[in-house]
Amino acid sequence: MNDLHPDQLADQSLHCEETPTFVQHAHQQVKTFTRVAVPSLATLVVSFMLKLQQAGLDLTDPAVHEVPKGW
Amino acid sequence: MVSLVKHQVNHRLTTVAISPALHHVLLEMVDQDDPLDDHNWAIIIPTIACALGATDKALVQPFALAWGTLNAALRRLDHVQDGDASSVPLPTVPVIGAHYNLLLSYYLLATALLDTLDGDIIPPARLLCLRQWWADCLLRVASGQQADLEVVQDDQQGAELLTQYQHVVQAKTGALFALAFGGTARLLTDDVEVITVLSEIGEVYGMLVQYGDDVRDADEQVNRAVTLPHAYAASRQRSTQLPVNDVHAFWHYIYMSYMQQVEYALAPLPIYTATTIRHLFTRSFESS
Repeated sequence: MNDLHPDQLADQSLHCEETPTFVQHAHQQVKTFTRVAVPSLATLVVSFMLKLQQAGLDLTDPAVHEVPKGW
Repeated sequence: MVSLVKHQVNHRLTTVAISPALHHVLLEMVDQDDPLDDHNWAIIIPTIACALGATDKALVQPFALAWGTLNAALRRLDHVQDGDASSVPLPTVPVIGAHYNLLLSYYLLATALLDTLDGDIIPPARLLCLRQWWADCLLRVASGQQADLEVVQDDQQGAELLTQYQHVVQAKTGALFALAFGGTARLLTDDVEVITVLSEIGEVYGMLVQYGDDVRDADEQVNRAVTLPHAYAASRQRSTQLPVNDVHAFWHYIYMSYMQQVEYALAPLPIYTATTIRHLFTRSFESS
């Protein structure tokens, strides 16, 4: 009987060099679930509101639409 | 004149022992949705193929048909789950179980269209890679849809709701377009960097599609759990008197920010590839 914790079993299976196990495959699947890095909307809304206030709530002010470099 | 997709579907269904009634209904749905008629979506996969230098677009056409049918199936699923009465009704009895079974059949039909990819020209490893990408992306779409249906707005503060909304969109719509962009790359190249970049750019494209749809159709989406205008309104400072159309300006701000990310991603690609993809974004998001 194997007393290893499921996480240890998963680690163990990842280190074998045989045919990919279900766990390995599952790890690969999870890897593809990683989200692409884009600026978060929560950050953008703060930045946008700040610019809008600085522009006196004038949406036609070009400064409102300038995106900070290096997001 | 019978459309190409209807012809392909009819041919595929003729080889399977399904009931004549289901055969007929699926053809009817394909006819209503014709994915090659929807110009916005129909250009994506051929454009990516062109960007990657494919000389024979027929090579990716079965994938374009499959993805277009999948997109139509998911839109219909969305309407059913949102209780949207304005959409084209499903050609079946008004029983929810029958609706879901028909949509399952429609989804399986979309997947079956992948079988018409030319295995004599496309290496088997690429076909397998595409199949796995298809499954991975659809698992993400399903996870986003599930989260969208389960989100409880009242339990979340403004910024949390905006973050939750972003995660839903990234999974639900981002993954669908990552499938289109990344799937085309998987069929046409073995270059891991190109595949990765196109998959990522596709995800960003899909997010922008959803944000744009939400802003444009704000008044018609009364049944959807959370939209960009909802999440934006919940997150902005309540004390501020905002001008009309600020959500449109916020959408533009998001677009510009995301395009910066796209530009970074495009940098390592050949100039022609980058230019063609940049033009696709411009055409999709800056023409209206």
